[in-house]
Amino acid sequence: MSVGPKAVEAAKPAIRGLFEKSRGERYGLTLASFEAILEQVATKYAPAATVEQKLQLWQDLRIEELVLTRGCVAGHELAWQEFLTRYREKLYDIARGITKEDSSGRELADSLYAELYGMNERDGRRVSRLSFYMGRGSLEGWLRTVVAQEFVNRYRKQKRLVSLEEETEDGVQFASTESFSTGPADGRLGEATDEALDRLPAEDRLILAGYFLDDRTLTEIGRMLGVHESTVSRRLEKLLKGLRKQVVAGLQARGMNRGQAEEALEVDVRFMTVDVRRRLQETRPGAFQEDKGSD
Amino acid sequence: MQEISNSVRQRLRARPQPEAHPDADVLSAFVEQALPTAERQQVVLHLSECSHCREVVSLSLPEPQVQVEAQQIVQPVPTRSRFWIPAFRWGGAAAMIAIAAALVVERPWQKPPGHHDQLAQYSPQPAPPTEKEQTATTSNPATDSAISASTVEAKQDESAATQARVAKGPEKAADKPTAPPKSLGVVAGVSGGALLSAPPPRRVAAAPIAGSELSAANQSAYSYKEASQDYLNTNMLQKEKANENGTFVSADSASALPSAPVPQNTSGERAAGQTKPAFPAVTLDNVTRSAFAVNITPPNTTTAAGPTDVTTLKTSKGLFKIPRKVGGAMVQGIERAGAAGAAQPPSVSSGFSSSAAMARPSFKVADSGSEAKADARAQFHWRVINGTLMKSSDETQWHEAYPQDSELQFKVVLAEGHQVWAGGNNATLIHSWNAGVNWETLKVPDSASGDITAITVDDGWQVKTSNGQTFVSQDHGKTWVPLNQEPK
Repeated sequence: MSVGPKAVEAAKPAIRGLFEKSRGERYGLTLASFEAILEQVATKYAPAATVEQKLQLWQDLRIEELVLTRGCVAGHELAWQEFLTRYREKLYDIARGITKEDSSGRELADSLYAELYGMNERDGRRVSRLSFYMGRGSLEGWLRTVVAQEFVNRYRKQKRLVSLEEETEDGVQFASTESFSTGPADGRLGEATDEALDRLPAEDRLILAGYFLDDRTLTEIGRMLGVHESTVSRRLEKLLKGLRKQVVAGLQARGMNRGQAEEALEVDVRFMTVDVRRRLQETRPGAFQEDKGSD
Repeated sequence: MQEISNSVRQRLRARPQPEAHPDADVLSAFVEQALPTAERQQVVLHLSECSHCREVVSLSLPEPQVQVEAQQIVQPVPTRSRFWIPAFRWGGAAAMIAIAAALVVERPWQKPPGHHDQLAQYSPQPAPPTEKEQTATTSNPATDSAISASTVEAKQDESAATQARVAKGPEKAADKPTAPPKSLGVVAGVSGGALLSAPPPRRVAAAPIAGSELSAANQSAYSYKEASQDYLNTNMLQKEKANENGTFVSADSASALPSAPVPQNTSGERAAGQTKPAFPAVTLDNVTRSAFAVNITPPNTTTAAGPTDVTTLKTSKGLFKIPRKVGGAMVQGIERAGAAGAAQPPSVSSGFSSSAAMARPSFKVADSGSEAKADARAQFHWRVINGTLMKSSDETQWHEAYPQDSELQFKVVLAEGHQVWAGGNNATLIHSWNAGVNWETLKVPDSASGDITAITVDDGWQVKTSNGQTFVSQDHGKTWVPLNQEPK
């Protein structure tokens, strides 16, 4: 979408106001470089937006934190001083909170700190990870997300490297293969369930996925969606009831009578990929969990 | 509902994972609820499909402490009392009338004296020995045969010990009559003499007492007149015992009666010649001290340990050792209040808050748990970051604490509890007495120039400037004089 020169001129005072608010001159930024940063953000998140939409986007940005990171990327000493003062300890705290352990948290934060500083060079220039911060959320939240991403990536890499002894202890080598439980005996049940799931709003599917796939608590799901856990509980109960009705109706639409549809739902339990051993251990009292290898 | 959840779980797992993921910026903005609605819907849609991003979002959620604090701030919503419902209101009135009528008819306060025997059987104390137990104390072989051998041995030992205690009772009690009961609910010993050191006779009536002497003592105790049945002052009972010969206990038991604990003075010695319990006179000083529950030992009784350099504070919950500097300040504060004259007793305003530096330690030492928690919650951290005065409650999130223009650059901040001083360029000095909620600008003399680089509040308020000037204020910042002109 082309933007007329008049609209661009009209946006200049607002951009200048944002520049003054950002106090970017403290980190050696000029108005022109500030405009370039804003344009970079708009190109990434609203490439086809009008000037008014862009202005709205820019006004919602964390401008001060954005210019701080750009100052750090440019190697400005004051910017780094401020960044370290405000975020260094916080970074360690975040890493410790995510890893739940002091030493590994410190190691994770140190490695990320090196990336934030930019130990790698590209085309003769230091590449700092801070240049990816665009100011949509707070810098602290961005750091938290980056640490979480790094932690998940590391965990997944390490999980691939499991010794044979550990696999034997966990029973992985003797676990039944997936081919025995590939899915429902009757394909119509899967189709009906898929159809019912597709009809749900995305937020409801997120609740289901968080609860049934990730084993998250109602509180965690509620915090993710910004609602209270009791709201999640009510929605989940309502969702399951509605889903059941829709699946039964879908099965009936596929040629089953009601009794057969109910039976298909119950029969399907035998084909579920459920780790019964793990589930049972979760529900047993703590004293019984010590004899994992004996049973 | 289990079958549908299993089916849902399986079908959700079978869904394909998306290849492209939102960047950290968008995810963090989603967590902070900072995305526009349309963009938020896209992220929710992605999250419902992508377990990787769900994991990242879940991990990057901030700690729930903030929510807890927010919940604490929320005031309880006033609800209408249920008793204003008409049915409850009339029901309550009817119940009150019924109770009043029952009181008028029954007159429980005019019960005959013997009713305590009935009350005694409901006493929570151990029941008096049954006939079987009394028989066991005499080691009757006929009844022993019905009991197992081990039980017999145990009971025989116990009965022997009980008899020995009964025999020795009066002498032993006379040996140490001053031993006070550990608590009001404890019945000391088994002899009749122990009755007086116990709290109410109606509770003592159910104590395990063996022997004819004891039962006689018990009966005499029960037959004692009603006035003595209340929670007893043992001194008073002894006095009345002397006036009313034989109506209370026998002469033997009387000699064995331990006297009640006499109130002790602060040095732990028994007050000589006291016939009545000597309670300290109720004065404003006592009330103030008991309100703060802090007894300060004089300065010459402080521990002289050199390396630790501590002051011992004696409180109602024990001794506290605190740094000499703090303790000294507290003692000085209280002494200063005392020196102000008897007409002006030590109070919060004179003894504790007259100096900002002295105000806090007394509250910290005070054994009120709620005050200590409230004080701990109210702790803030202060910093000057690039000329901006910043405040934080947890050292993780810093907020601008003072609305300053771009010309004002702070250089130094000093915080003592809720008292905060901050100095900056152009000899700017501000002060807050309530942890930064309100600020006052202090007028440092015009002769002051440069930046304020140091603030101390040990002995008066003192500031130093970058030009080497030092100013002192003894009136909480109202007037300032250069250090070499400080009035004596």
